Amino acid sequence: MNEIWHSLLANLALVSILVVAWDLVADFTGRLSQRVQSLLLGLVMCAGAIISMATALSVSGFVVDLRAAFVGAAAFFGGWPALFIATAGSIAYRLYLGGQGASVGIVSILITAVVGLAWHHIVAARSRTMFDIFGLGVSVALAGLITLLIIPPQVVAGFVQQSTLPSLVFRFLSTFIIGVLLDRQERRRDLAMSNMIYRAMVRELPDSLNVKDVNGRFIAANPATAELVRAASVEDLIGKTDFDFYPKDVAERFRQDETGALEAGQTLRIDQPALLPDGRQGWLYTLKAPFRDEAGKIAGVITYNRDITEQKQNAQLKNDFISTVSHELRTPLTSIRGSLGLIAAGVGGELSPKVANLVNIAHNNSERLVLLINDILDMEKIESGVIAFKIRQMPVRPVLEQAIAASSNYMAESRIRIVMVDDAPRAEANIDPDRLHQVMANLLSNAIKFSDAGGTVTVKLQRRDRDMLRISVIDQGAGIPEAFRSRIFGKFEQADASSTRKKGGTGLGLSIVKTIMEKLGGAASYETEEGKGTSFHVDLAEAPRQAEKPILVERRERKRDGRLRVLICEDEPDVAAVIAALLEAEGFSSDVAPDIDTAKALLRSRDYVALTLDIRLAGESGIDLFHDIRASPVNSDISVIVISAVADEARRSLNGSAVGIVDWLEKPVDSARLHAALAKIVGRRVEKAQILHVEDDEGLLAVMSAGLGPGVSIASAKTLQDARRAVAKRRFDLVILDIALPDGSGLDLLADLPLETRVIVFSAAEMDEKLGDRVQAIMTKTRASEVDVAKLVRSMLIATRDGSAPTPGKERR
Amino acid sequence: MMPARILYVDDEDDIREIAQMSLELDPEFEVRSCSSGVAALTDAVDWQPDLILLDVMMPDMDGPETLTRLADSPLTASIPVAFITARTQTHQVERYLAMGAVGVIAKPFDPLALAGEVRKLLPRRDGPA
Repeated sequence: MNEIWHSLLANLALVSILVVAWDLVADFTGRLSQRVQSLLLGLVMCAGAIISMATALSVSGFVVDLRAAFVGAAAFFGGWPALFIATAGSIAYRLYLGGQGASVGIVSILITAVVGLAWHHIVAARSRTMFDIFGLGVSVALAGLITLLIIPPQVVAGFVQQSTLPSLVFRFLSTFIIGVLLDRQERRRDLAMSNMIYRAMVRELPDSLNVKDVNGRFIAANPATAELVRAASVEDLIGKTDFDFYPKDVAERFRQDETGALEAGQTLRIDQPALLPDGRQGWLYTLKAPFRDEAGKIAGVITYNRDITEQKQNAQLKNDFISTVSHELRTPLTSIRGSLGLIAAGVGGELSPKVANLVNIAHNNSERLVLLINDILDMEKIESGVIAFKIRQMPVRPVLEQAIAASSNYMAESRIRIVMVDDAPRAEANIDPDRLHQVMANLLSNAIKFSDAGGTVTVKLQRRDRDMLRISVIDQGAGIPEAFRSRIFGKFEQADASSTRKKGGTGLGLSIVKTIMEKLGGAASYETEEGKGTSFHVDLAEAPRQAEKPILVERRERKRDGRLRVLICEDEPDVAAVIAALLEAEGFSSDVAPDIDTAKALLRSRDYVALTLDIRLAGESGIDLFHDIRASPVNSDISVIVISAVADEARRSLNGSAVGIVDWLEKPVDSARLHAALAKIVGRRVEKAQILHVEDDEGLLAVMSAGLGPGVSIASAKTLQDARRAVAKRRFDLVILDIALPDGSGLDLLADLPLETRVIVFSAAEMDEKLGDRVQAIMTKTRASEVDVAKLVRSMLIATRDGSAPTPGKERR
Repeated sequence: MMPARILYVDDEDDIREIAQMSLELDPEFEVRSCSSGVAALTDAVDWQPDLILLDVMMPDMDGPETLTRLADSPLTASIPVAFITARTQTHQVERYLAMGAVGVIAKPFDPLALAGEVRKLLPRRDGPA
């Protein structure tokens, strides 16, 4: 009894040694084909089984050993080839050993092989788990019991009975141990293989891929990265940062992007200009993704750079082509349409009915050609992405109402009524209002076109299912003929070729509708019944309505410490947040206006020292806002910093001379440039210049005040006494002085003025220069206008602010 | 009321003629035209129009350059300038406005509506006389 346990334990040790030996060998067999590997495994397992039998305890012709574990494992891991060798070898040796138990032993080998093979097939379709190996061990152990059935009863009663339990336990143990070791070995090999594959992929990747730690030091990189940063080799990169390879400002920009991605814990995607490995200036698409360690802590950033110079150039070429074609076609068309329009309108004199008819035909067709070119260009621009969709959340109804209003001309001509039905009041969606307007305009003109005179077109806004909005344009026209329905959203399709002539239109309208809706993430569909009418539907996801005043993001209240406030006009929240953070760092407080209306409302209600303006804010009206501000008396003196993707282009064309614009900054915003721009503004606006205008003519006071604008603070005094009082109360930077005052000479005020106050005498009297140094300029009414004075005041104030020396000598006009 | 003086600048003879006729449909417009940016500079100084309509694509001196020159000269800086062009992609319009143009009119224009569009661009003349 004890003997059996000891023997099996010794056998088990042998099993372990053998498997470990195989493990060492296997490291060198990795390159061989699978079949050869399987054969090798079979050979080793066969040897194991034979050694196991050779060293086992043999009692009256029965051998108790662990060969089953080897045979089972061979079949399980190696499949048929390994099974064949291990089984054949074991059987041959068992036959050679002979004895009473030989036949039983051979049956036991065969059963084990079958069990191993069965498991081999069970796990073939999936990846192996520890449970499978456990199952293999149990079933190999239990399979041994089957042999008990064919062993003669007298033997069973004796020796076999004693050996059953230890045999069961050790068969399981040995199979399990072999299984686990071989499994680990295979996993290790797979891992090495996948490592190799990934390495090869990364190495061969033409795009730059690298990993940096949180401090911006390269941990890993591919050769394309080394090429991009102009490092000698990948090894040369490791441990260094961008600052070792790029000029400081460039490296800082990269680092900023990285810290942005790291801090936000989010992937950052940007297109950026960059110097390419071949020395050309080009564009890179850059993706920066933070990666986390096992504890979930951000451990660094993965950067991927792809050269998109060609795409950018192609997009530019396409854009140029569209632009050129549109210009080349439109130029002759301008003459044709213009001439015909003028003739048709009778500008060239009365036409005979016949000629009038012919001219009308030509005129109508030239109009059609104009529409057609516009539609083709629209279509092209939408499809190619030249038109950038400015999608934002907003109420849907106003867009529909505007579209209806815009169609009203056409509507009246055709005597069609348009009815608006709103079953989803105040519903909001993420839309580009201009594009939705375009969709509605097309659907409305279509509906009107195919309605009979006096008919009604219904525009209906409703909720369909949950979270889905449906806008329907319903007409009572003839309906769409069956044969045409499949082509309805196609290009240049109209139901009846003759209808083009009859109804006008280009056949592109619905195609444009469909394309736009797809880009908006919605869908277009229709229902029709011949003779009854057609409904076109556009479906959009409803956006949950935000709390009251959704578009105004109040960043912070003006602090008591009187920080200067800046208005950020920017519709991209991320960019706005970045600018706000930069301003905060500079000691400014800020508000964000994501659209023009909010910007205007805020400008009316608050005092801002400056405005950052995205030219493309909310559609194309950033520039409109700029003109509005300049035109409005309230805040025309506000400093404007243009921050835009097209800033540089716009600035070049302006030669930097745009009035009132402090600086033009490209996106992404460079903090140093912003700082400089703000410094300029603060210099200009820390406090308004204080001006006293002493003048008894009320009209002139008003004109001067208007002429100087709100950039200065003007006090006025109509008498010498008033002027003295004002001067005693506070300090003025500049005084505009009339001489002939009701209660004395303005010159008497000079003695009351502090030395640093500058004086312009503006008087009807011709003055000479007896006035001394106390007066910086003399201007004579009628010779010089208020505008001249205002100009002089401004230049004197600027000179004072810039710290330049007081104007030498006197200015005289 | 004084007639509004409009200077129309375009290198295309046909379009210039039609534009002039279209603008003259408004009886309160006094219209002159010229065929190049250089001519526009001298005409603007001599005639002091209330509004200059500039074609963008012209040989030698194009519309934007003409605008810049006009803005640089104290004699013409205060004259509002609008572009009239077939290139009316959004970014182009933005660029024109950023240069200081008061408006952009698209070609092909509607001859019967042109005068109305131009009237909208004229500075309001109700300031202090």
